Amino acid sequence: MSNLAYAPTRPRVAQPAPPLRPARRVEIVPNRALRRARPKPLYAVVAIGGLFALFLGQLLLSIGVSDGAYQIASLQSQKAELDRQQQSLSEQADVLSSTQNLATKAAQLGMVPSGGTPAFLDLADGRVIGTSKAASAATSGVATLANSLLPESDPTTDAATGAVGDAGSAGDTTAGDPAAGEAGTASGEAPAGTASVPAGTTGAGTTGAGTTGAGTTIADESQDALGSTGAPATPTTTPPVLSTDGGLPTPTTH
Amino acid sequence: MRMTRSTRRRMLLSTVATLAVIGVFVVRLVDIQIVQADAFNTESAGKRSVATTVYGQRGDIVDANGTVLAGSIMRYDITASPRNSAVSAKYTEQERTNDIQAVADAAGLTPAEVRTKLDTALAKNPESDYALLASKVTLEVRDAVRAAQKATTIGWVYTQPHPARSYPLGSVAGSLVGFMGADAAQFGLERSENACLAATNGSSTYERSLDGVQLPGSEVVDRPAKNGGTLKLTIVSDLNWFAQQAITRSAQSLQAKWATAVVVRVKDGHLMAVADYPSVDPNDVNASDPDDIRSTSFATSYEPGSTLKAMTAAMLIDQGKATPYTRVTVPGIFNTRGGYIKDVFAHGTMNWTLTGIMVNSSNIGISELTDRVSKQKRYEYMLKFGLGKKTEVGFNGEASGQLAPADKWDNLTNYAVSFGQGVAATSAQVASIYQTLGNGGVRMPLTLVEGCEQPDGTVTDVPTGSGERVVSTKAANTVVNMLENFVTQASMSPLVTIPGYDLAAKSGTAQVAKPGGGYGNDRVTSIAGLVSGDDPQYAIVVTMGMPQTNKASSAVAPVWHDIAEQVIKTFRVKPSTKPVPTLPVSW
Repeated sequence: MSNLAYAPTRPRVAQPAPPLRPARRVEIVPNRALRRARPKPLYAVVAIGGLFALFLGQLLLSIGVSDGAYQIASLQSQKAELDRQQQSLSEQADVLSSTQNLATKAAQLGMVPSGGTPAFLDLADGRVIGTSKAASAATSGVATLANSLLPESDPTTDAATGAVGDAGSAGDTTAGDPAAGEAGTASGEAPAGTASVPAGTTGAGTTGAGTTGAGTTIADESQDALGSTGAPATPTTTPPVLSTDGGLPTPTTH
Repeated sequence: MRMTRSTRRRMLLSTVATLAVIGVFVVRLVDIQIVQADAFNTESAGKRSVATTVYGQRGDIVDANGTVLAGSIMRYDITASPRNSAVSAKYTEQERTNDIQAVADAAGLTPAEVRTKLDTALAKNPESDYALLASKVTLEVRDAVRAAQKATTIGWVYTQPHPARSYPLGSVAGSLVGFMGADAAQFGLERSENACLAATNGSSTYERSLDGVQLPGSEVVDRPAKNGGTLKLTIVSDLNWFAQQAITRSAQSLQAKWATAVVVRVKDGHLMAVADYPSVDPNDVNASDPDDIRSTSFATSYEPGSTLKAMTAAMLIDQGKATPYTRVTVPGIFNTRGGYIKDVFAHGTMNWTLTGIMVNSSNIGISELTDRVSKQKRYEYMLKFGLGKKTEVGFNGEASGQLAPADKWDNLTNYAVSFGQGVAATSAQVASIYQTLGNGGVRMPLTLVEGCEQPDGTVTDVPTGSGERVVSTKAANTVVNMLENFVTQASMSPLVTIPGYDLAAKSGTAQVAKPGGGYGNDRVTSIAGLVSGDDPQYAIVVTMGMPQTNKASSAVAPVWHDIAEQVIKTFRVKPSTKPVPTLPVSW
């Protein structure tokens, strides 16, 4: 290319302008070979479109995954909630299926334990082995074994080991009684006031008669009755085996 | 095109500048991505990731039928962040009071308590971030606190899980199961089998976003939690309940200090029921006197008395020194040249057979025969029967009883041991003796734990140990035969008889030694026997410790009878097919 800066200058001589010719578009007419060699627009569209599609896809996937993470978190917290409820309910179910509760409820329904020994039916030959006798009210009894998880205002629950009153263990800062909390939702029936006292309630020291009144009154009475039995048991010390002197009195064991 | 020098210079400069900038970036990149990569990763992970404790669950204690005696439950602690509850520009005193009221109502506390806790913590440390408001509350209380917190967006109260223990059956088998303290097991099987029951907590780390949601694919479980194994006991909880109820009622009416009932399956030594009075409710340990926190059946040893006459008779017959028909002239008093021995009822000289001695429970009679076997030999038998050492159960706080070596026996003790005085044993040991007699003379190890079932299903800690022959089958069966005659011929026969069953039993009224020496007025009364005699399946020993209102062993008979009946019902023991072969009592 020539460097016009160094082009020698010549004085310009006005020359008549060449006659204007009508402008004409000049096109190169492509022949088949040239046409074939031209890159097709479709490729460009596909390439760029594909690129955009990839980006879009990645974006959507990422959104979907993050959304899924939120769903997972929400479902997990639901599951944790349900787990907690299930644990709480099965804990209540365990307490309600305790032997003391079943015996108490059965006694309240008027059921009595079966009397005597069972009879057997020999399936091989249809023989009846043994005899059984009918149960009578005299053989019935109520639970006397403490279970502080059961509603304590139930008058038939034993007060011997001091289950009356706050069943919470020492050091527990919650004033809410866990037993009452569970019983409130589990047993449904109002305690003490409406529990029907079974006919054959004897023994156990509870005054199971007639008016139930306030559950604590009955419990207090039985606690007094048992409180008079004296000091708590002290374990036996191992008795001396050898006599240190000849003064051992004659044992009169049976 | 030709390039001029200045063009080339400009191009060179711009290229160099570009390369320099790129070089700085590359160096910085290498520095960040390679050299300091670890430090940055750790720092960022620390800011993003959260470590949580994955709680393992402590194993359950179940009985032979799967009834849960001790289970793990979830309780919750209500905690607070005192510094967030401090009054500030954004948090007025009135708002604080309202929030305290809401929290207190939900948690079942008084507002004063909550306020005190917060203020004390703040006073000690103004930046305090933790104060415990309530411990081990139930799910309902926790939900209430959560609801209260959401309702008024309280920013300083939290709840966290607190694993706890529940004992659904209360004091039924409570003295066996034991209980937990604040952190560790304190008594009973919870303590002695802690290795089986304990769980190990794990931890897991995950990365969280700003709003607390776990970043997908980011959880890394550092350590998996391991749940504890399930401890399977041999006892049947319903039978335990019945036995405990029966001895509780009886002990209360007899005003006894303690009482036990032990039921053992004869063929393998498995304990079917261990009933103790006084009992312990593991849910409410503070209601029990600390002295009462024991399993009396294992921990209390006492002189058993005449129930051990069956053991002496077995020794004599095994050595061929006596038979049920052996004739003995039994005087009214026996001089041991160390003391005198009398029977429970005064009598003149009686002509009793060995059977008669058993039926009448004659101390003098058995003492007359006991010298037919040497001291040393009788001592060895007693060791083999399990006296003087703890049983294989190895219960927490178990006593081994007392049995002095034969060369230490003075003249009185030499005879006294033949009727169960001068030797101390626990109810479990006495039950083991009767198990041996019922099992044809083969003593099986006394077993309380069947095994420990791990979470993956394998069973570990199955007690090993095989039976040991103590006396011959003939000797054991002969003694059982004599005990059947006790049930049919003794004066308390109507109290123990169960129609259709050939029961075998022996009574015992043992004197209790006083601390200074000599015997006092107290008695330990018991009945030990087998269901049933022709095919012994279960040994039952019921003991009343120091009854006050009735010190005769016949007072124990109705309890023994009821428990025997319940054993028959529980295990469907079939009636006996043969009548008891009557043995002569006198000659």
